[in-house]
Amino acid sequence: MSVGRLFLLAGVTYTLLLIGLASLNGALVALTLPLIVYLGAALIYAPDAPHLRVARTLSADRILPGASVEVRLAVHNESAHLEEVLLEDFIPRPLTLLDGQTSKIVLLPPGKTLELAYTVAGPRGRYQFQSVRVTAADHLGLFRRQALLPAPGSFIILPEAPRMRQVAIRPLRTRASAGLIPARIAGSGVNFFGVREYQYGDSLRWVNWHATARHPRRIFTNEFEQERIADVGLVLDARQRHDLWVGDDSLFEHAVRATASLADTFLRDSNRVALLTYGAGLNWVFPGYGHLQRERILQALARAQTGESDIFETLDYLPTRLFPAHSQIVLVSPLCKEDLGTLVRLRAHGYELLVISPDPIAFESVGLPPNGKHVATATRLARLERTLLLRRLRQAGVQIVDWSVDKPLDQAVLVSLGRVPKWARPVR
Amino acid sequence: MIARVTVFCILLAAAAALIGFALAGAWQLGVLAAGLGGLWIVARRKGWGGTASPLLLGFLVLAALGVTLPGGAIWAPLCLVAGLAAWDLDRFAGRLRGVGPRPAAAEGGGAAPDETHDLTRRHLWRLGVVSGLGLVLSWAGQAIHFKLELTVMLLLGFVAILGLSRAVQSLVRESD
Repeated sequence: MSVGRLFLLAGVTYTLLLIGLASLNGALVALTLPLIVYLGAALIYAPDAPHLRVARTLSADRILPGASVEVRLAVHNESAHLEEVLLEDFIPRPLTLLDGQTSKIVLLPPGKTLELAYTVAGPRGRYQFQSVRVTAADHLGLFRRQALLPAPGSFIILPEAPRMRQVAIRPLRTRASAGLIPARIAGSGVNFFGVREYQYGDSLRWVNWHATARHPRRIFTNEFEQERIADVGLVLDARQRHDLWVGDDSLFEHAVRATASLADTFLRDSNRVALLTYGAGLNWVFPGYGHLQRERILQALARAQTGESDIFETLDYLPTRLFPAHSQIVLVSPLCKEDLGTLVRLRAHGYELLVISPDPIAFESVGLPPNGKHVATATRLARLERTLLLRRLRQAGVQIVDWSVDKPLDQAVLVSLGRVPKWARPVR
Repeated sequence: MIARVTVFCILLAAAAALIGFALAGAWQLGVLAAGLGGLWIVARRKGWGGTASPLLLGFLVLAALGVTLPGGAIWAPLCLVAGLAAWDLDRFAGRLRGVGPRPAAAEGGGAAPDETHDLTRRHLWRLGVVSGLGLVLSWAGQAIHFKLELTVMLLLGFVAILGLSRAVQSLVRESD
């Protein structure tokens, strides 16, 4: 109800009427008649409680970033004639309206349907529409009836997952099926693994003639390294304190995109991939293969938010039992010095650990004034601290990709992992 | 269309009061009425919110002052009805403008004209009928004179106020 307007008119009418009666002035009393007619007309045509049926349809329930979703609302009037109906839909933040209207004001006769259509787009996330507000009023707008009608609907905007080339990982243990990960076991494969004495059934094409020439009575054949699929556990660090913002750009968003790319790459290579989001709580996607698992992981990443928790402030509570023993763990985290102990322990437990670390210093220094007081010194100190941390991790056998997020992840991975380090090469 | 009718109503209210007061020799009040009308038009142009109700009150006070002056029985109800119509249309236009939000790329704002045409037509029709009826009744009330006992008049006044209060109260309750 438009209470202010109603009270204004009623108050003026009463006042004029009282003054007219008190002063015995009929002209003043007669002057209130237009106001009384106006109020009377509003009273007569005051709307009843609206009985409306609302249906919401979305053009898609999952989209990629940059795409848009068309939202359609159909409101069917099952009550009496509604003179002035204001229909308002609420767009979940931070979606933006691209086209159309989220509210409409129309006449709605009984049995008629009002349609509202608009197009929205937005960043990664899961968006839920709840209800629609309907305000019915008389033409003069003095009396209103408002109702919130449930009109649920939801869609998801998946994170971007830029394509990457194969990521060179070498877990200690692989699974039984053939894949692309070197299994540290001799067998049929492509890469040279070693030389052994010829056995019956070996192909003559595998005979190592150089070794055989040095041993006149023995024949040697080449062995190749088997390639299998592996268990890969992706861990996305969603701790609030690691999320840095420069303008509208968030370091966590880069980490999410990197995780999506990695999941896509590992699943494309037929590996079994799981995802753990470590932040305010633990969000676990069970290990799986193929397109369905890719979809599960992307949806989990679409929902991923940073959060704070006293328990998960450090990586000490990383539930390693979720990952198979000696499997590959890929941690996507900017890292801090408190994480060193946990990561070293993970290595000690036999996990093969790859850390994709979005560089927070390079990211944050973009937003700092170049000639700011002490900025250069502070940046240098932070850089030293980070370099030391990464060096210690490398010394512990952790593979590190120090990723400046202004460059493609693929490029950073290629630079860091392109050449297999000596310690990781197969024994000959 | 709404904007033009609103401005017309404001000008009518202001002109009626200006001419009425001028004819009665109260120039100062006439100038005040013109000033109120001008202020209302400027406020609409500039988009100053919350000015319509105080300005309507101003016109109501002027009409109440002018109704006892010579010729006031004619122009005072006209001034009041025109002010009331302008106030109503101001609200209606604001409500149409408030429908949205529109995308940043689109020009202007508010509901699409074709969608609100029917609504606007019906609103103007209702307002026209209400204003016309109110004006005719008010003029008739100014013209008809009959004597009532004080007690009867007080009783009628009490009944009118009580009835209107009850009706408003019940609607407020239902709306909540």
